Amino acid sequence: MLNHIIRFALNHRLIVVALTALLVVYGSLTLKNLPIDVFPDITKPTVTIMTESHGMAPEEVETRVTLPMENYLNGLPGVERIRSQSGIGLSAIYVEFDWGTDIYRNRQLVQEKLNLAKERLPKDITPIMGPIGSLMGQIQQIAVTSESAQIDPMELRSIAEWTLRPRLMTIPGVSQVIIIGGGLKQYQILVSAEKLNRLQLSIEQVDKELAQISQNTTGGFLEKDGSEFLVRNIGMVNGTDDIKKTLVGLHFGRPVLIGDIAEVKEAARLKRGDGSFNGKASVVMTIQKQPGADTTAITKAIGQAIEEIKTSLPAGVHVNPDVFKQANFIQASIEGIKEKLTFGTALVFIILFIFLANLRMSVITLTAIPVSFLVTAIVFKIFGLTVNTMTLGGLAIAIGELVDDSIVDVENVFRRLRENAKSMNPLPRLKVIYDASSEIRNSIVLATVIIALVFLPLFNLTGLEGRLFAPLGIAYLTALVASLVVSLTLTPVLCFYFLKDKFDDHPDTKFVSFLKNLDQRILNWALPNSKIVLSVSLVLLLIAASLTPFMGRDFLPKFNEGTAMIAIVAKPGISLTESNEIGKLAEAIMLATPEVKSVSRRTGRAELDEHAAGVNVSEIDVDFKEGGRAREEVLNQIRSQLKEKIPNVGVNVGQPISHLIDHMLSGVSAAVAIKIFGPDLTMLTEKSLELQAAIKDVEGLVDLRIEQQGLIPQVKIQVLREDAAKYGLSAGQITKLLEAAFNGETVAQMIEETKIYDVFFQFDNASRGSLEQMENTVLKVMPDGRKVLLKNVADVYETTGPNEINRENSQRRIVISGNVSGRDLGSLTEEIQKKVKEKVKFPEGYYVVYGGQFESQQAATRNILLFGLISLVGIAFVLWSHFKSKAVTAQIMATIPLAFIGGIILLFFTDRSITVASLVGFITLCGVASRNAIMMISHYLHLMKYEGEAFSKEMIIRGSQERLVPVMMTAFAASLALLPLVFAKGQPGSEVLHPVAVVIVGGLLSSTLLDIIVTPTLFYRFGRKSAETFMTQKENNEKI
Amino acid sequence: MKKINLLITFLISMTGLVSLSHESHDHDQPLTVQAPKGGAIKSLEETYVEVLVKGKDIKIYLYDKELKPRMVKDFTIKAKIEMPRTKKTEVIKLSANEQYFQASFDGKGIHRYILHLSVKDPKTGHDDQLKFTIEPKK
Repeated sequence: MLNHIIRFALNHRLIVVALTALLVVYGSLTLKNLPIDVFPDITKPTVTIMTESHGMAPEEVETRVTLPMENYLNGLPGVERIRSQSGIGLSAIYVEFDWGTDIYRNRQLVQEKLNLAKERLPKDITPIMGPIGSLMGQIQQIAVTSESAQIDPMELRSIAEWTLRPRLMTIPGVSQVIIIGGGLKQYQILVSAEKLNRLQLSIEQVDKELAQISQNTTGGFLEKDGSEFLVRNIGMVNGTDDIKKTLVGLHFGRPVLIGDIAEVKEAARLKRGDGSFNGKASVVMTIQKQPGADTTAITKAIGQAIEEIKTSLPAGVHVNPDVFKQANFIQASIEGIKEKLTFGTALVFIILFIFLANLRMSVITLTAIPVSFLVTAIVFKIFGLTVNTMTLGGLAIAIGELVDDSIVDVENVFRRLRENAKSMNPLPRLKVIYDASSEIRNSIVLATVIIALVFLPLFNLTGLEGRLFAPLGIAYLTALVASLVVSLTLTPVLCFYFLKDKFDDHPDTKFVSFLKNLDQRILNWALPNSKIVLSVSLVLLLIAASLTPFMGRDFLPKFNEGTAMIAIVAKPGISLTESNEIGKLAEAIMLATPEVKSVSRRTGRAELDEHAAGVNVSEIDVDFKEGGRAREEVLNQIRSQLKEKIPNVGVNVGQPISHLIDHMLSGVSAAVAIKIFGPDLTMLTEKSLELQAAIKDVEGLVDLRIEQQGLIPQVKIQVLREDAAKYGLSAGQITKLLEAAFNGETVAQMIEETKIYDVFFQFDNASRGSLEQMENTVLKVMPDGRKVLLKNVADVYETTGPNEINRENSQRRIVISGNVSGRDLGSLTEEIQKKVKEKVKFPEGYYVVYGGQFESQQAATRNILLFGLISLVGIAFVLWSHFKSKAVTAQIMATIPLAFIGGIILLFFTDRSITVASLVGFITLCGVASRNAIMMISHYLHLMKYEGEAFSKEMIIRGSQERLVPVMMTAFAASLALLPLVFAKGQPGSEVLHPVAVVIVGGLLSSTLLDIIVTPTLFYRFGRKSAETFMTQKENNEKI
Repeated sequence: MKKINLLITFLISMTGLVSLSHESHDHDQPLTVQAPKGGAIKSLEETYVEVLVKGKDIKIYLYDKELKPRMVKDFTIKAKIEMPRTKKTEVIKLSANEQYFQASFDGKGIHRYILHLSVKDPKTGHDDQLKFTIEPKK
């Protein structure tokens, strides 16, 4: 069939050229419109359920809200893990599904269960599913600040809420705009308990009247003079005066208005979070994108929208859209990889020219690169893939190999044309080109099939690593298959058009002649001394293998995102004001660091935010200036200064995207997550403290902290049922009234133009400022005029309770987390596990689970090794089915370890760490390395079968010399194409690709240099019998 | 003059008494100290006192300012229980082992009671009074 393809292409040359031109044009247009992102979609399908549970303590939220829902959600098909967080008045449940499940189906399943669970939840509590999110969803932060004294924080928030947010939400691809900081305006009715008391009104009565404070109803229709009038009954309030004039009761027959018992004012809603930019209070807006939306396009549209809207903002208001932009990282990464692709292509061209010394041959060969790339772009479009660092990385790795097939073809065609030119009876050029292409087509296809086989493990990787590397594999294989098709079709056609020289005048270049002579001299010595050659190879392999224990193990290389995310965690129970002060101090420390450009802080939780952080948590995004000290050094300095100047807080230094990835892997934003599971919170705390003490001195472990679970001060009002009953009050009535009085409730809404504000009712500060004032709250006025005070029916006292309760897979858990600095993750985790085993004893029912990157690294390594072995078996089977010889198969397979020698040694001297990325490099190497041996041994067999050579030392030297140029060219082309990535350690976008490139380049160098000697030696020593068997096989030659 | 001397003597003696009988004063900000056993913790001049209650069992742990366990046998601790509304009190007997003091009290379904501790610290010689609100059902 392959011969048919070559024959068809050569017989329909113009069609091939025209189709190629069409592909180039369509591919270029497609490439321009492909969405760009930093990584492939690595979001694990997760459904978030947020349930506001007003006024409930964490224990109540856990037992009354979270648990009933968890019970229903457990057992849903495809669910991998359920995590939950029960905090003050809020339950957040994260249902994580298997990779690859459909998020819409998952949401449907969750919704069905929530409908059932709702019946088990307290009245008026409704669980709400969060929007479909994306891990890389938080694409930008905008800071809104004011220099004008006339614009207060509440006005600033209103501008963000009602002017900026609606405009940003209209941008296609924006899914949510979360705002924190300033003050959310509301109309407050602050009732004085004392006045209420004096006028002998109860909260019950006030609550009932306020429920009807602002209502419009309809009066039907009135027919008059043949027309129909709509009757509207207007009772909506239109400002504070309207509210003040509302009746709430009677005192000795005289009407009591709200103004008589309460202060009515415009004020900011109770804050559970705050924001700041560069140490100055500000409103921080976080933009989230829809899954699959083009981040750079949205960022551009946001910039334009802000430019347009700026002119309409009040003087002194500044909108800074450059606080955090994921697009900057994307742009830096993509541009970096593009540069490396261009540079790599240029290096490939230079290599081709050096070896071929023929511009036309070099250009024909090089054509494979752009054509394969553009075909890959079309495949990306068909499969909905984005242009990202991984897909571009796949192309970068493939560059050198894309020209391999064409090199082999062009080189063979050229050699045969030259031989034909010298021949006494030259054949037609077309026939020579066909024969030459046909001659090497089997080895080209075989090598490509093997490379495809070695990539199988990548498509079987589960988890984050699978999502990251599968697109790389798709890009690599698509480009490679495209290059194979090009070498079978376009390359022979171009050879026909462009290789028309007088070939007898074109001897080898001096450089090639030198290499061939050197090869001959080496082989003359090596072939009879096979024992020495093989022993030296074995020793080198052992040396390389002995280096591996000295290398660390990490999950993925560290990303260089350009920005940092620093979390400051104060003790639970701290007030927002105090937490703000700590946050400000941390900002000042960071801003004093010369390399820091700007900082933006979010303390606590914004409304609508799924990230349920307590007020004790501040997350600070840090942007850096160009240049300065190494990032690790700067971050270490910030870390130590924070610890020194702000004692008793937890500090976690990371990067925004890395943090999110960590969070996705383990539910914790840190590289190491040690989870203790068990039923009792006190015991969990005790064991977590013991564990922390056991591991705190482990070298390389930084940012060690225990999850923010702790006791916070509480005021409890315990209703005494018997006492309450004496006054005709039930426990439910009392708690409902108290919720309205102390916690407050929204009783109506006020509309100003298109803005909607809440009307909120609560006791004033003077009425709930102390235990005594609370105790003296009048709950009811008896018919005889006696007042029922809270202290008559309840016990009011101070106590403590947990700030939040976290659960995972239906069990309570506490997490001890940390990051790694200056050490590999594998050895660090081993040491931690050893220390925990030695020093911490867990009672019955309690156990520890190690999570985070470590867990993923182990699972990924296991998978890669397992599927790698399966692939090797597959390669052996393919080789055997082609050569029908165990000995030849074994000889080709023996070249794979030779490649590992260079890969391991170069990795040792560069990264000194084995990551999932470097393992992917080794996988790639298996295919690329075996390619050389296939080409070499196939040629020996060809010489014996078709050119009358006998199995001899001379035949092997001739075959090796003839294959030397394509073997060296392909190896050098592949290595040099990856050279820019080898030197790009830590550069944005190249973090994951760098180790892959290091392993391939190192491996290619060692495998090529050793292959040139070891493969002929092995064949000479062990190949005679198999070669003779191969000779006897029948083959149907196709003729043109 | 005699009266002034008497007044000064009286004031000095009162100051001494006050210093010997402290009432639950936290020397550190309570939020900054993490109780090692996850219970309620209060601070004295040289000691942290942590109370852990599970059902009827009451355990009292003592630590130094570095939160390292202190020798229990060196301390003298007296405990009494106060009911919240009736204000009735009941003395409970504490027994000491190497790590903690312990006692047992059955609240008979009550939502809370107050545990009064009188702690004599061998290091300072002070007799301090501490008050813990206990919720046995929690």
